[in-house]
Amino acid sequence: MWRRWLRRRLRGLWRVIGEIKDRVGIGWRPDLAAGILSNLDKIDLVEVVADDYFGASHAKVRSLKTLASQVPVVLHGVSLGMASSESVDSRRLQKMARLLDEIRPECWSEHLAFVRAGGVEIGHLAMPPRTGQTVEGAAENIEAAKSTTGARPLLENIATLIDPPGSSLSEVAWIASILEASGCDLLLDLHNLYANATNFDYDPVDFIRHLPAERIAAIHLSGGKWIKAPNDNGHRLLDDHLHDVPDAVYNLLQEVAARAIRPLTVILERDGNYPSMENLLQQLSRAREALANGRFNSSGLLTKA
Amino acid sequence: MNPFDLRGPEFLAFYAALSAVVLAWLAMFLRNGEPDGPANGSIVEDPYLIASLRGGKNEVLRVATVSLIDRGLIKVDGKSLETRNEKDIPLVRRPLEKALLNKFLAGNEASSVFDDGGLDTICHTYEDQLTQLGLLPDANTINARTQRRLIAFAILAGVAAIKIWVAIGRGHYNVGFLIVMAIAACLLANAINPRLTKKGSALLADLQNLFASLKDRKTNIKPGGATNEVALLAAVFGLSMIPQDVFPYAKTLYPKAASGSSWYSCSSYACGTTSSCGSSCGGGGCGGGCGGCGG
Repeated sequence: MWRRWLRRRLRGLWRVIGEIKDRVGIGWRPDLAAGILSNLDKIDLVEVVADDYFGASHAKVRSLKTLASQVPVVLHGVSLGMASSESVDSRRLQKMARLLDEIRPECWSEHLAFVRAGGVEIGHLAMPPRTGQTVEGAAENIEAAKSTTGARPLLENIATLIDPPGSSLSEVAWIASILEASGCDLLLDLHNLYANATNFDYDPVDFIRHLPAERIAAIHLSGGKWIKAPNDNGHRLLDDHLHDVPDAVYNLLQEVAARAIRPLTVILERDGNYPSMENLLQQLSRAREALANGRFNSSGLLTKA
Repeated sequence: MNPFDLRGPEFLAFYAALSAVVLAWLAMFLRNGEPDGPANGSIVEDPYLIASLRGGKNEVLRVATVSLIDRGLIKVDGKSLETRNEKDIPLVRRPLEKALLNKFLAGNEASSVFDDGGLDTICHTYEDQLTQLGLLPDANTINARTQRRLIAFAILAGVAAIKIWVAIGRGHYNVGFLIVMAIAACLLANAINPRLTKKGSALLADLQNLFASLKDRKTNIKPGGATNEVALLAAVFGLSMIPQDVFPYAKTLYPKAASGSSWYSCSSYACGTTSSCGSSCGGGGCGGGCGGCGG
C-alpha cells in the first residue's frame, strides 16, 4: 500500500522536476566576466544592467549582443523610477526600448522605486509612500513603459532603511496592488525583503505567503551588512550587494520555490568585494539546492511523509 | 583626356593614384557580403578556440603551454619544458593538453611544439570549428574573395600592360618604373587578405571588449592555475598581456610573443613575415592575426 503511495508521489515529483525548469544565474559585472564566461556550464543565464548600455558605443552594444549569443541574457533597469507619481523619463524609456530591440532579451525588469522628484535626480532607489496614489502612478508609468518598449517589465521590490512616511498600505499590499493594476510579474528580491523584514520587524515568510504566487517570476539574491541606525537606535541591515547571501535568504528562496507556480529565474547579485568564482558558484549551487528543496516540498512528498 | 597619352612621370602619378584607389576598394569590399552578426556557437568557454581565432595554430600552442605551466603540470628549465608527472596526463580533458604533456614527457625545447605534426593536426580541429562557425573563411568565402582580388589584379596589371604596349608602340622603352610599380601594387593587393571573416573580426573585437576588465586587472591575477584567467588573458589579448613579474617564463619561452615587440602589430589583414604575429595584438580591435612565426 505505502509502496504504491510512494510510487505515485515519486511520479508526481518527477513531473514537477521535469516540468518546472528553474534557472540560476548571476549579474553580469565586467570584473566577473572571465569567471562567468568560463563557467557557463554552471550558469544558466546572466542579468545585465541595462543602464550601463544607454548611449553606449556601437562596439559596446555589439559585444553585449555577442554575450547574448553565448548565454541567455535578461536586462535590468535601475534608473527609470517606476513607482512614482511623477512620469517616467521618456528619453530613458526610449533608450531602454532601443536596447531591448538590439539585444532581444528574454525579459527586462525595473525597480518599484522613485529616483527623482521635482526634476532632481536623487541617485538612489527610494521607496515612495505606499498609497493608492503611488499605485496609480506606478501603473501609469508601467503602461508608458509597455507602450514604448513593447513589453511589460518585471517589477522588483526594493530595500529601504526608512519606512516611508504617509504610507497607508503595507508593503506587501502595495506591491500586490501594483502587480494587479499593471499586469506585471514580480522580481522578488529576497535580500531586500529580508532586510526590510529585519529592519521593520515583520515576518518575511508571511510576506511571501501574501504575495500572488502566480506572479512570482524571478528572484534576486544578494547579501548585506549591519550598520548603526541613526541616533544610536540599534542596527539596520543594509542591502549592499557586497557580501555573501545569508542562510536566511536561502530559506526564503526555499519558501518561494515551494509556493511559486511558474519556473523561477534566480539571479545572484554581487557588485563588488568580489570573492573567488568558486565561492560565487557555490552560492549558485546553494540556490539550486534551495529551489529543489522548495519544489520537493511543494510536491507534497515531505508533508505527506 | 586619354590617360595612356600621359607622359612618363605624369602616368606614373596617375598609376599610383589608381593603385591607391583600387587597393582601398579591395580593402573595403573584399569581405563584402560575408555574414555579420553574433557567432552562433559557443566559443567563449574555450581559451584555445579564442587563441586560434586571434592568432592561429602557434598562438593556440603558446597559450596551451603557458596554461599547463601555470597549472603546475609542466615545469620550466630555461627554454626547456618537462611534464611534471606522467600520472597527470589522463586527468586533463582537452586532447591538445594531453598531447602537449606527452610531448614534454622526456623534456623538450618549448619551440619544438611549432614543428610537431600531431599538435598541428589537433590545432587544425580548432580552425575547422572556427570555419564551421563562419569565423574563418570557408571555400565559398575564399572563392568570393579571390574573384574580387582578380578584379583588382586585372585593373592594376591591365592598365600597366596597356601603357607599356602603347609606350613601346611609340618607341619608348623606359618602362622599368611602371613595371616595378605594377608588381608592387599587385603584391599589396595580394597581401590584403584578412585571416578572419567579418564575423570573426567582430567576435574577436567583442571578446576583447567583454574581457577588457580582465586586462585592466591583469596585475592582480594570481599564478597557480586556481582560475583559467591567465589562459583567457593570453588567448584574448596575447602573451604580451601577461604580467612578466608574475609569469616570467612566458618571456623566456616566447620572447617575441610575450614582449609584443614586433614592429608591425597584427591587423585584420595579412601579417608580414617578419612580425611576431599572432601575439602582439596589444589593445582592442586587433581583428585577425596570423598563424605564422614560431617565436
